Amino acid sequence: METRENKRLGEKYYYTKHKSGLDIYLFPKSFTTTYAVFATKYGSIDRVFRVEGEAEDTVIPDGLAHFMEHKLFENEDGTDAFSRYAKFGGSANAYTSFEKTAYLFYATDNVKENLEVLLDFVRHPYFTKETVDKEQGIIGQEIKMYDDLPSWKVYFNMLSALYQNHPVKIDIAGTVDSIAEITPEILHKTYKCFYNLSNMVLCISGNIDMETVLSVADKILTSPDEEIKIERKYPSEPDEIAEEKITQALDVAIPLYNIGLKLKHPETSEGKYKFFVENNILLTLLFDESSDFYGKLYDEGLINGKFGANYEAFRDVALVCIGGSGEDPDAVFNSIKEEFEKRRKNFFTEEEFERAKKALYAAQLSCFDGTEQIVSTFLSLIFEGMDLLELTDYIANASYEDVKRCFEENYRTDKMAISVIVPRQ
Amino acid sequence: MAEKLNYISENIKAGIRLNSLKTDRFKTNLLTINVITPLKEETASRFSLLTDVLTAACEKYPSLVELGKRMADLYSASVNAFVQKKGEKQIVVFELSLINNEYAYDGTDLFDEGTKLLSEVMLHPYLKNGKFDTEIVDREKKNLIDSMKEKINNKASFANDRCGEIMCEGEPFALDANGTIPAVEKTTVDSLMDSYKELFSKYPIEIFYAGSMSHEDVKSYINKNIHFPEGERNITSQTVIKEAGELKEVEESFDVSQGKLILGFRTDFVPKTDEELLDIQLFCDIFGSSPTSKLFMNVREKLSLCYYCRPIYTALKGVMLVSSGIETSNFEKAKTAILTELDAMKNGNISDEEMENGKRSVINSFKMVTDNLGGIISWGSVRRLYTDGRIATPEEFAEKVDGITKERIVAVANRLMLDTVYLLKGEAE
Repeated sequence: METRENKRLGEKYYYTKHKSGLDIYLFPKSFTTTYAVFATKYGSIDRVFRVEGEAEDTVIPDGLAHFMEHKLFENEDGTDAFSRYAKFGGSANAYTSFEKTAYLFYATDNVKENLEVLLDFVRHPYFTKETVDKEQGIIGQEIKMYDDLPSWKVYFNMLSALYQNHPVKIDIAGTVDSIAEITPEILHKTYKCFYNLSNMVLCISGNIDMETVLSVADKILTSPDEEIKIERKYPSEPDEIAEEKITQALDVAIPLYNIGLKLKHPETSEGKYKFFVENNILLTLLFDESSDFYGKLYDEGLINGKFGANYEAFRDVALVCIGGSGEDPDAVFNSIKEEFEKRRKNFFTEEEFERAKKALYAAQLSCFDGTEQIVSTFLSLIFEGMDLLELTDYIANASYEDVKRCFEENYRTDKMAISVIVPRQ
Repeated sequence: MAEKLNYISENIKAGIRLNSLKTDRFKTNLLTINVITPLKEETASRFSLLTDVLTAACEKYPSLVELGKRMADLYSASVNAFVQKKGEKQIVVFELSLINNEYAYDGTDLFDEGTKLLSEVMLHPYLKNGKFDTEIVDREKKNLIDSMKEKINNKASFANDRCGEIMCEGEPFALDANGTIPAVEKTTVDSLMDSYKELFSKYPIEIFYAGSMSHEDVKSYINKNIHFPEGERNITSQTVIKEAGELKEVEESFDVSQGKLILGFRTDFVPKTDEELLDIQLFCDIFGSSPTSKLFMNVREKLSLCYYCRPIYTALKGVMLVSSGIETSNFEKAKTAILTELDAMKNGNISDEEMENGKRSVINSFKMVTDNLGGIISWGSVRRLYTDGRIATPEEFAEKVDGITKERIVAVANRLMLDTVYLLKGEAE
């Protein structure tokens, strides 16, 4: 077992590789709630893969990862995982994102028993034609709920504008038609490929020790999974965006928009750390309430308090998403382009840089203020080969010159697209 | 390791009380100034607008950006203001969130500077000739109206609000937390000033703190940096409690693909004792809040009628909504299915397993309160609306859960009376 520590933060965690091949991370914390996630590096973008020895690629229906997440809760004896948790007072949930599927519980008692349930139900898939059919009705309603949600649509339209081929632009839950193609057979095959323990992690924070965690792992994960080699396939994605603007009409009161900036995610973890820090500092400098640009747009009535920008990155995807609502999204879009051009000639001062760095440092501190925050932040980093405890050092070491260079290389107006939802006529 | 959530409460001035909780679990700390006002059409919009105008500029930092820079200098401190609807009260909240002093690497006393900044925002507004700036007020009026209009964007929460509004028409509860759009439109710099003068002098102020500092330290910072005006601070209000009348059925059509069905129930009481509150909380868990509940297991899992179907109970008003997203054509089927599950509970059809599962889940939710700064503050501020005395700990509530009997749950189920059926019809293809 290894201990990794950040003394300045007063935080540490333990890591071990279980004999079954599973990576286990444990953050001991004196919170009442223990939070645990069992996750696989398999999400909505993993839709084409080649199993070693097979002649053809396997192409799975869109929305399958999310469908699988729902289906794993069902057990062979007709019960579901929720009722098993309920016996031990655990609250459970799961989510599917672009690059991962995560099963979680939080509990204040019986942590060991709840952990057994978590590992056990995820390891025992049960798919029949009847249960698959039944789920199509439930997920069909979930898809329709999102179809009516403008904040969701505006985001996926932005991804479609930025990406020409990348599957990130496909809705995570798929469509009513694509999930109708899902069968027990394809679920089984995909499960075997991606729910291999060597492709998964267990991450826990709270009141439990490694010995207990390992005793549960020993009990449930009795043998390593059969080795299976798969090659994930993604279409090649050009640097250029797909189209500059996508507009859709929905039942909204005033237009809302997402402006995207297409970036290239570095491949090394060192590069990813730096890119994370530099982009976040840049977004604070450019779009935070403390920026002159924000003040200008606010005073002009172009933006309101909902305006904000995020950096998002996973696998080979990295982007900036700037969102807001207002009567004139195009004017906002143009102002941002002008601001980029202006800052290219006249970059921020060192003083402004230091202030932004301080803000990012403080924001990172709050990640440790709860077991859920710790685990979910840790999880999204670890699949990228990054470590939450090292992030603050990268923030402290960020240099003015590097941030300036990051801006000059990446904040290009030809890599930007806008998605707008307008009110129906 | 459960940490006892024992608030220390002390009146620090007439009508101003400090409630603080010391905890060493967090790297940040949180202070909120809650002004407790009756939810009324005349005042709600003005108070809501005030929270926006006051956080847009103050005397010392006369623009949004200058305020923003000051907050960033204080390690991304945040000074926010907003309104909340709690039953038939409107809580006007001024909130300060900061990292703990020990993490400020340049040695700044952040809590000192933070409380000064909070005071600037609340009590030293940016004025021109004694009046709020017309330009700022007009801009914030527009922003507020826009955000009120935008409530239609999220059909699920919009439908819930509509059902509450129809059910409680003519009662304060029918109002939105921000009041009404016409009331915002009507507000002038003068009427806003009148409301501002009342805000900190006529209504009770409850201050909540959770973080690493002691009660005495927090008190001395507040006494040093925040000087509220003199005042009686005694305006309060009573909640309107009504029994369900004739069933109201309302359908409205929207250009969306999924319909929303909301059933609005009244109970004839606002829980006065901890036991009464626990009974209905456990009822909700068994009925529909948890994934082992009757609504989840039957309406969702067995009948595949919806992705979500859950009760939302507002104890401070004694009303409950059952909110679901459905295929519009399944309206009758879904309504019948929900009412069937409620009838089952009214008739005592609750298994021992359901009771036990529900109890564990409710106990879990109480125990978790101590793990989140926002949760700690919200626990204190909501409990404060029920009692003027000591704020009970979540542990004390948790300890009483085991004693709840099935009979008590059945009794509570029978106090629910269907008042309003609201259907937001999806008409898109």
